[in-house]
Amino acid sequence: VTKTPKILLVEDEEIILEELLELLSDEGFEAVGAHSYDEAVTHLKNFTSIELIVSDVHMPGRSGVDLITYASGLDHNYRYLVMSGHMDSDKLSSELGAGTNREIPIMIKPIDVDEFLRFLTDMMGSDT
Amino acid sequence: VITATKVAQSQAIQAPKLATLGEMATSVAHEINQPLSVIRLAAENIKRKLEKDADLDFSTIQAKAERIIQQTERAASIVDHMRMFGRKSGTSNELISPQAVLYSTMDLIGEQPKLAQVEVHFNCTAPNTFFSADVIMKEQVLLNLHRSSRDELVKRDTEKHIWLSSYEGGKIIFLSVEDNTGGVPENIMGSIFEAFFTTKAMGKGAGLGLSISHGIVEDLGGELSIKNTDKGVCFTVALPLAHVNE
Repeated sequence: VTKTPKILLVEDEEIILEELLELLSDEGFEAVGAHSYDEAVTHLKNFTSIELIVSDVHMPGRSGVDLITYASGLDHNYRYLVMSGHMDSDKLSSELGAGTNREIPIMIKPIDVDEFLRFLTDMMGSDT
Repeated sequence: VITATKVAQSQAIQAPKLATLGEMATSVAHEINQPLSVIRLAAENIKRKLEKDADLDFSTIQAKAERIIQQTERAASIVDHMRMFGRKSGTSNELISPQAVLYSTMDLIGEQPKLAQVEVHFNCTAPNTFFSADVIMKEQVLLNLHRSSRDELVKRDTEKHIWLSSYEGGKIIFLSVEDNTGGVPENIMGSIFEAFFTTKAMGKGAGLGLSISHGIVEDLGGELSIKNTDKGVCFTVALPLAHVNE
């Protein structure tokens, strides 16, 4: 487990989180995973190295929108990517916009992995 | 003999069932997308690993294949349920155990309780008893009762619980759905099974779930009742025990 993760990955379903972390690790990204809003907030406090937050929307308790709204209120210029299994991305987009005053990219699940990795590389620069 | 009344009743039950299906469309999409996401990622991961290392060990490949198979089964069982859900009710009564109904209802409910942070508890003390009913109709009843409880629970800030149980007594099988909502005000108790009666906000519910459930249970020769308990509301379905010749 890396001590200086650049990416925080938030997904409530264990197997999906596991596969995503494996993908990122295989592709040379340093990432840390969280299953919930609360766990994600703890990671944000513990790992100041985090630059990008990749989050699911629908989770038990507080949502991915809540998380991004919270993170954008912190004194840290995070970048964001949202993964959603629901079709209504217009509504989601406006909710995210209201919470952050910026346009947050959304990927519809099941995500296109090539596109996902291209996106991360563009945002982060590959660590490989 | 199918009478006009029977046809009308059958259609009346069918209509809100489809409405329920419509409401469920979003959550079904979510339920199917989860296994699809796992399958996609597992396949991508193994493909990428093999591209980097053609001599990848057998157990890694096998574990991924196993995961993909499990997830296709998960998706298939959801699809299977939805297909049965749209079926017309009436003539397909069979002997079913209360336990089987509770489990298949839980499958249909899927991730909804988790997302609403409702904890669902089981207690089946009559596993080897049987009653005669269309299993789909029974699921529909329990689904409606569960939804009614859940929708009340999500308004609250406390811990949320639903207890599903079944028990037998005096040749009657009881299936109950109890919650910790604190109960229904006595003044609306008498109206709760009336069609189009709802305490929900405009657009949140047509007020048909409980009245349809009541109709289905009566159709099966049983009774659906409601009472307040020390925790909340308890809906009870009472159905005659079927004779099983073995």
